[in-house]
Amino acid sequence: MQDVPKIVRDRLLASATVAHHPDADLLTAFAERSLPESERAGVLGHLARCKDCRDVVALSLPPREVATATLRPARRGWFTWPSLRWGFVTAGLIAIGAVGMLQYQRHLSPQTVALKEGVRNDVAVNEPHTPPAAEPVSPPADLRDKAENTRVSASADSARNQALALTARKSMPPSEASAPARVAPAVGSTAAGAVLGERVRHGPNATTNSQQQVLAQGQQVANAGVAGRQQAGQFYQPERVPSVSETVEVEGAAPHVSEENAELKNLPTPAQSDDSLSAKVDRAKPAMESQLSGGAAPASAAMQPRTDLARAYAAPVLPRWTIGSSGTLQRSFDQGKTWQDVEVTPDSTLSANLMSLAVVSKASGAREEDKDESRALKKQKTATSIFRAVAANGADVWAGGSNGFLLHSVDAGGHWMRVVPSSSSTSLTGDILAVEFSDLQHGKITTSAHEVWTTGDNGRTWQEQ
Amino acid sequence: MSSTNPISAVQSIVNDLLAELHAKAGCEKVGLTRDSFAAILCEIGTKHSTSATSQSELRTFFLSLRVDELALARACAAGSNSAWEVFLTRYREKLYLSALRIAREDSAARELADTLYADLYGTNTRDGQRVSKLSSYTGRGSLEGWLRTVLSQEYVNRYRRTKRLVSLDEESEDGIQFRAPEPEPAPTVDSGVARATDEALALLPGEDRMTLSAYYLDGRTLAEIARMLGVHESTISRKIDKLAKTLRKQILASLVRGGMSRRQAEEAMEVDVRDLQVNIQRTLTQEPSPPAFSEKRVEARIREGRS
Repeated sequence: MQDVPKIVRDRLLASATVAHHPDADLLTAFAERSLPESERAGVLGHLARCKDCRDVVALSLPPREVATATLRPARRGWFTWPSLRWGFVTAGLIAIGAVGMLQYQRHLSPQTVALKEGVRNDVAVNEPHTPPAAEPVSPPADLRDKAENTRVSASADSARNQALALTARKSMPPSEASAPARVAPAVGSTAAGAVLGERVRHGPNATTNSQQQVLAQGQQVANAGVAGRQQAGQFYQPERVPSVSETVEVEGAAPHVSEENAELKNLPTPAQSDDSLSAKVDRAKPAMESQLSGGAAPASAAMQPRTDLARAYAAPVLPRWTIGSSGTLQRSFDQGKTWQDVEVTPDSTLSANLMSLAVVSKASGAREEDKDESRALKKQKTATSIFRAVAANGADVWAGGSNGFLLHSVDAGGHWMRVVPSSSSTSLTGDILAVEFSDLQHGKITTSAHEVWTTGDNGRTWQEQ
Repeated sequence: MSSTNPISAVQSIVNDLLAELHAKAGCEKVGLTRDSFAAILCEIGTKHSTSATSQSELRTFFLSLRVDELALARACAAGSNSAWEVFLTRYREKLYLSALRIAREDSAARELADTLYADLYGTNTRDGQRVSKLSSYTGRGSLEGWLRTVLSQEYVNRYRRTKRLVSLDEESEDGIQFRAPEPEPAPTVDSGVARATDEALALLPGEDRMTLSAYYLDGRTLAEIARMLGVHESTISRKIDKLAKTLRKQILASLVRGGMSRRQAEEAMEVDVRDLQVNIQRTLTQEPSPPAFSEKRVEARIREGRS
């Protein structure tokens, strides 16, 4: 603070005069700031010259706590700098937090997008598989012999394996992965699946080394490769390749597959080369594409995999299962509060075609036998399926009903495969009364014909007790 | 106000406001009659008003009075026992505390408070009538504040009287008694500078001059001055700084207009004659500094070498 010149002090002192002093009332009113402006100026003029009156005013001031209250500055509004300062700080912190959250979410989302892209590619590569050909051409003898011991998945299993192989194909040299990819199965496709099923069958001469490697990798990745549908995202249970028994892929609302029959017959036999097989698959592709295009939304091959994948990565919610009073299969995603019927109608199944394909895979070359069994299976297909038992281990679900109708899903009911337990020359035919799976591998089925079928490998092979 | 008698104007306004003010004052409680109260108001109004005071100003003035405390004080001055009971209940303790705050010492505070209390009660008489200091209270400020002001005036008066008094015993002990103090030479101040300074000071409003006087002459702190004026301490700080710059500029400009050069004007403002005399005296009496020790040794060696 700059000081006044010394001369100013001298002149102030010199101007001090002993004039008419204001009375106590006036000084009191001045100290209490209750004087009008005109009188206040006069008192101030006197105080500027009179030290005694200045001393009196200073001494007569009210106590400091009272004076402090009166001198407190007016209440500041919200829009003053101190308030705005903290407002800016708070706003900055909120903005930083919001940006951080967005970055974190963005960091998570590319992973999902990448997986979706991978699935999309797999789906694109997964040509709609044509069911394995129910062709009259008998398979080679060696393959037929092998089929006695193993039942190759006609479409779904092989299709799934193909899908898995395709998934692994990306990491493999093209030469090794080309063969499986060409016969990538699709929904409802049986021919290629059956052929592939042959190829993936456990046993000598079943597959080449490279194919085995691919398939092994595929099996490790996913078990949801329903024919044509990308199941790579359904990572519920690895290494759950359905049984070697005759299985068919059953969609909850699969499109009509009547067109497949003719195509299936034209599909190559397992003995055919990869090229011919791929050609067959290509031929079958339009049918399957039409089939798929006419299908219901849930049966859409292109969309559902992505949906399933998204669902899998977003929040794998495992439903609860039950059998309705009318024998329908039901599931609940909200702890039993609401239940939805799982639409698995016989008409939507491909059991007829696939069963015929399965007949081909059996160690039987007689066309008549095939026809008979095909008719039998058709009967089973057309009969109304009433569920009587269901067993679930996480996403692995087994549902059994009348006429030996046994379904297996590895994705909590997203896709179904029909399983026909068979051993040697017999197969399960009676009404399934109970299905018990203590774990993923070991299960037991009880039928109305007092049959007890057990499996120890998640339904790949069955034994009648 | 018109050329009519200001007393009659006051009286008319008092008559208009008497009912309201009488009810507001609670005169019955302190034993003050309506007529007495009216007379009091007229006295105060007459004392305050001038020929230039308008009726509205008078009206505002009466309405701003603290009529309840005025009635109490005047009733006490008139000797009303009921009023005195009320007064003692309300203000006796406050009077003592104020005295203690002013005097800062218990015995002095008690003496101060008792003296004022006697003056308030009216121990003095004039023409056979008790003279109470409370009769001078007009209600412009609070009665409590008025009591503090009266105490302060009494204290200041006492201090002034005490300061003028000199103890002869102390004087003899200090040896001052036998030596007449030499008067200090009056500093000769440049008249031009003084005039310029007076002109600059005269242009300042009373509040600014009061602030400068309180700060530079009384040595009061910024906080004390702020309390006196009812403003914030920072306001006083900024005001003094601004005043210093303004005064310097104005005095300088005035001196330059008077014929001085800028440098001369600056020197004239800053130089205090008393300081200048002291400086000259100090310079004249200053002894030459002795040579450094090393220089002495060198000189000695040189002499030895020569020798």
